[in-house]
Amino acid sequence: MLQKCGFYGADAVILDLEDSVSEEEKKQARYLVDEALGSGVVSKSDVVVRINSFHSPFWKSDLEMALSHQIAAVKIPKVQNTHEMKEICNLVLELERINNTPLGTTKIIPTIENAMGVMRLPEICEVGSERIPCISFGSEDFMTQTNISRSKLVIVKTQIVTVAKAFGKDVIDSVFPDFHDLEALRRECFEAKSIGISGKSAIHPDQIWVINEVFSPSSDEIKHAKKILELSKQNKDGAFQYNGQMIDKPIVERCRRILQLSGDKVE
Amino acid sequence: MAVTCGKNRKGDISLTIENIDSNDIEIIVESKYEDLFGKHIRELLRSLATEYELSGIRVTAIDMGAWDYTIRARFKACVDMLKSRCES
Repeated sequence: MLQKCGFYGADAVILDLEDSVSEEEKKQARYLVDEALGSGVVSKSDVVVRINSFHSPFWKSDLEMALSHQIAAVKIPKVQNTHEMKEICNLVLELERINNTPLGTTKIIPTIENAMGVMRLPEICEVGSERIPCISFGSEDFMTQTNISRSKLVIVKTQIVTVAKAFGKDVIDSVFPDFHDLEALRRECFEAKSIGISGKSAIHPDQIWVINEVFSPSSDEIKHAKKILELSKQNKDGAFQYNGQMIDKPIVERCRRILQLSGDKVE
Repeated sequence: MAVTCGKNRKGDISLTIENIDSNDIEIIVESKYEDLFGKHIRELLRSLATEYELSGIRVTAIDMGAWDYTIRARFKACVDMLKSRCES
């Protein structure tokens, strides 16, 4: 099935060794991912491997396998303190040396899935530093631990976004498990986008187009952003008016980000 | 002694490796895609047996459309299980 995963338009494909794999099949799954990555059926530059958590006996072997391939990133589930983040970073550095990978280039995506992870997120971001392109949120485990309902998760997600942004990191939202209900998925995507979340994980290929549609800038947004950037070049004095609205530096910066997201060349 | 890895599900292959009395490598393949890939699967299984220096075995494969990387991964897992059974 892995050979098909590149065709659905996702920005990246997560090959999972964690919760979707039973304890008895962990090794078989690792071999499968290893052989798939080695065979070239998936584009490694788009692949993220979700290894098992630091608190399992599998994480080291998973990491060793994953980093023997030049993948986009490793996703670490249930990160909750700096000790595990340090241990993971140490092994990543060691594996970069072994595999002749440029030091410091391996990307790590910590997933926050429990209350302690939220509490310790600033320290986790500090320890992971440049290796962390984004923070991922895992809602199912979080809800299980905290009894916070899905409809109230927005509070926690906002907290995560605030901390992550303080460290210059994006946040990727958790999966929406009911893959038949695309309208509910769309609502959750809009809500996530409104609190500064940059993207969302999909659990089923049918969800990808909805997620892309919501999180990608619309043609109107792109048109507007281009106009603002054009006007900002002409107005060297700082703030200016456009369509009855004051446009100043933060708005210009947001427009620049929209164009970056859209893949447009931004000067 | 026999070990099995993989499942009877689309895109997978169920591989069973068991010891036999002779030094041969017996390969039995049952595949929905026998006409297209039967020969290739047999050759791949035989080459894997050679790669892992196995003999005196029967490999029974029930193929559900597995690609080579899956067959390799399942074979490796079987060899692992055989080794750990031998050691215990």
